[in-house]
Amino acid sequence: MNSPQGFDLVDEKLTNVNPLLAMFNPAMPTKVTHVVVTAYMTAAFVLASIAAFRMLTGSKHVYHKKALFFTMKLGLIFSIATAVIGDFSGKFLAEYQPEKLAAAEWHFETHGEAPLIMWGMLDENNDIKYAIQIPFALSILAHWLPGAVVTGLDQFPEDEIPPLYIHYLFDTMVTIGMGLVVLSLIYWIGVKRGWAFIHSKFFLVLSVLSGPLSMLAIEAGWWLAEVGRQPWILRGIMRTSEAATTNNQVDLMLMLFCGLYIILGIGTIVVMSRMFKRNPVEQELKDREMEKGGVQK
Amino acid sequence: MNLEIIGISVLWTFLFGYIMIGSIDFGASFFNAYSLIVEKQHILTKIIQRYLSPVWEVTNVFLVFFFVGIIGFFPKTAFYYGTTLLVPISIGVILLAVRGSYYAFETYGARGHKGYALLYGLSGLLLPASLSIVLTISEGGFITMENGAPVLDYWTLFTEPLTWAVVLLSVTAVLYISATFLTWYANQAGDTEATRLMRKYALLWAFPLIITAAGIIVELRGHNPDHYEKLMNLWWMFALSFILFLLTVWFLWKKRNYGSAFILLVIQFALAFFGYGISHYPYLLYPHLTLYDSFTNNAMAISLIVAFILGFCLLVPSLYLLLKLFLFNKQYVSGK
Repeated sequence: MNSPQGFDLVDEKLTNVNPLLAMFNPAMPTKVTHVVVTAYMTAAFVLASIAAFRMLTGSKHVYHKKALFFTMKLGLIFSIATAVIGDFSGKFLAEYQPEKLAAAEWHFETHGEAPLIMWGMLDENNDIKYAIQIPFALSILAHWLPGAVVTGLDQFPEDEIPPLYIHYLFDTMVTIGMGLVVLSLIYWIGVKRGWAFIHSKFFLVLSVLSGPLSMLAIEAGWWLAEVGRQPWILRGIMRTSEAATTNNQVDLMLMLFCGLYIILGIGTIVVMSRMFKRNPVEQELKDREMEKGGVQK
Repeated sequence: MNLEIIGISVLWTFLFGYIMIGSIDFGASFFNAYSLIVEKQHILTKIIQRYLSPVWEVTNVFLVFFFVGIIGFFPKTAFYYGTTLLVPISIGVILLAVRGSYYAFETYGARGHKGYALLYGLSGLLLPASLSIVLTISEGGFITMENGAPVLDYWTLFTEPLTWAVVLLSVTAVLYISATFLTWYANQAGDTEATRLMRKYALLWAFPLIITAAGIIVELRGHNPDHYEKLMNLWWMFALSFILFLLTVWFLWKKRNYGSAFILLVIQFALAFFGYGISHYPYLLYPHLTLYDSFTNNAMAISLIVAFILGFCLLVPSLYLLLKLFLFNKQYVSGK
């Protein structure tokens, strides 16, 4: 979708199709690794959240302490990997989808020594206000070098520019990702150095937030990837409006599916919470030890 | 034999697999719900639940294979069927989700929720009905082209007797296939009471099945004479299928060879299903779409066939393992 290849388009007909070439397109390495690594990262932080939550609500069981240490360490590894691969994704975008990177970064004019813009607002003249600017960072993100020229939105026709609000999606994703690296790094060093701070209530609250925040980051990244490709569904070949179904009942079906997911969501919460209330981890561990004891005798 | 024929044969086989396994599953859920209403759950629930839980996931694999395959091999079907079938297929997907969640919730907590079990049983009847609509639509006359886009005429569809004949056939077939299988399964488990009840259901649904099947042939004659004529050229397949049907019923009647009875039933349905499929050739959708004007390019077709063969190689051993572990394991079947 982002860098389609593996076929030729002759008179609106596909020829010379090569499925393997299509699968292994330039977008594939960075996209796949980024998605997989962030999924592992999110899983680690969600589990860390649960452990931290149980510790906050008063459980002194060593199980939760071990779980928090283990998942935070995994979270650290995978959040660093995410950042590294994210950097490669930036370089992929600069090469193959410069309009997405430019829109995400509000980079209107093509020039070198480009700063990375975090947050901020746009006024009527598309001037950036209240933003944090990191000098040279966008040039480095795009092409390794601080002086490198980064393609701006001025190189694209008006109707091929993705919506500019993706900037906030990008910032949400990056801010949360960086925050999680810092959080888990502090925790890890803290454990090694015996800092009391990491056992404080404040730090546990931050750890509880890490799971929901990483889910938010994944969602923001997903939206960035999809909205950032607009108006294309196959970049440079087919617009989303050309691909959409002509059926008029899409809205109704969307509502129907939303209803379904709400019902399933509520059902899952009810069933899961009932299940864990009836059989808490502490109880299960105790039962297991009993069983083991029984076997040994 | 060209790639188009290989493609559609593979897909039709997968669809047949889905219809058989799915029918057992759908019907079992209906009998389960029915037994709750008439307070016979002490006879049936155990045997049905034991069969249902492990098989559910596999059922869907066949359906997914079919969908991926038909869009892959015949991309234009996405244009014609994808546009027009949004509503019926969405309803089907929602019903599938209801069934999936039933298994999940049943396993993790809300065991024995009566309302849910009834809903689940009802979905077992509604699903085949909503999915079988596709077969009716493929006969033509319901899809018109407006401004180059296909539009489904719901009014004609729902006032056409053929539609209801197909819906009835799908429901009776589901109940008949399922009851025959469960008779065998209960018999394997040594559960005489359940065997007796399922045998009764199987015999009860055998007659409606053959009536509705004959009804379709009659309706088709009026609706699509071209297809009807091709169907009649394959009369021997349907005749053979009918003989096998009689044999199955005879075995059931005589209370013996339940295993062979079910195998004959599978062959009976295979003959009818493939007879129907072959006579449908070359149309995927009368009269807009044939196999040949919708086929994908060669490279894609070959890689799809390779992928499907690999898929088969994975699916068949896992099916074998599943059958061995859950369905034909004497200890599991009889609940030990």
